[in-house]
Amino acid sequence: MSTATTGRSKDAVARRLAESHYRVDPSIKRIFRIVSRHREQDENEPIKLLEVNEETTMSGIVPIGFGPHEPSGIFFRSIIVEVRPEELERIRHGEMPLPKDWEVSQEYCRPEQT
Amino acid sequence: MSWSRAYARQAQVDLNARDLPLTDRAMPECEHLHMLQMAAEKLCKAHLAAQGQPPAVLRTSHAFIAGPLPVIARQYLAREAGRLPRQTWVLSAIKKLCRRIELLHPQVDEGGAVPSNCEYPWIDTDGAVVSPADYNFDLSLLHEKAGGTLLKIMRIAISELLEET
Repeated sequence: MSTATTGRSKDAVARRLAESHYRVDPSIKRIFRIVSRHREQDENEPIKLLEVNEETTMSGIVPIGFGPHEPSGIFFRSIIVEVRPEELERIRHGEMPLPKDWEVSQEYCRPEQT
Repeated sequence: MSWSRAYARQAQVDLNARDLPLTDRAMPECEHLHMLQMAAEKLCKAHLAAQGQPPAVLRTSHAFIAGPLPVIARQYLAREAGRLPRQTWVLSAIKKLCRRIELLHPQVDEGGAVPSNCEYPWIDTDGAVVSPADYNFDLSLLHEKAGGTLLKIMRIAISELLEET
């Protein structure tokens, strides 16, 4: 197994979480990492994913939090923000700002079907 | 007690209360659906409260199921490979169920297109007044696709919120 699938680092867990969401939900179009400008290195800062989904309701930025779950390799708290594609554009144009000091970071690609 | 834990606790009580009328055949469908709607709403609000949603906002809106509950369900489906089904149709069915559950609240009616709800009488398309107690909602989680999985996820999520907060 690659480090990305077995690692305990926040980066590895974030990627694993994103890939697992792609696998169970074909309607997810894109997933981005959200990072805190000042606290992302803090182990207590949750993993944050911005998920773009055509099937979700148009409800703006609604962060939904989850606890860690070690048996499935989720070693950190996580927050999911799900938006519609048109809302992603509004975020990118600064019309719908993310809360706190969050900013959109790297994109995760859909994993190949196994 | 945190707001998140308080909402999770109430969701637990509502979900348990939903099960009670199921053993009484005389109890109308609207009663246990009402409890299901309330449990789902409070579970979602528990997750939102944990992220700092102001209590005043959570108390005034009831359209908090169709958006958050599929996200919650997806998180559990993604991680519970052994305990929950991972086929993609399951989440698709859960999304439809979540919207139907949200519509059980009287203040969520698709702009007047879906007046049926679990609490208050309404006027149907023929102009007749309908009581929820006599209405066939045609919504049984036992028979709906992925209904049992949704209930299982709700119970796992509530119990984890109560453990961690």
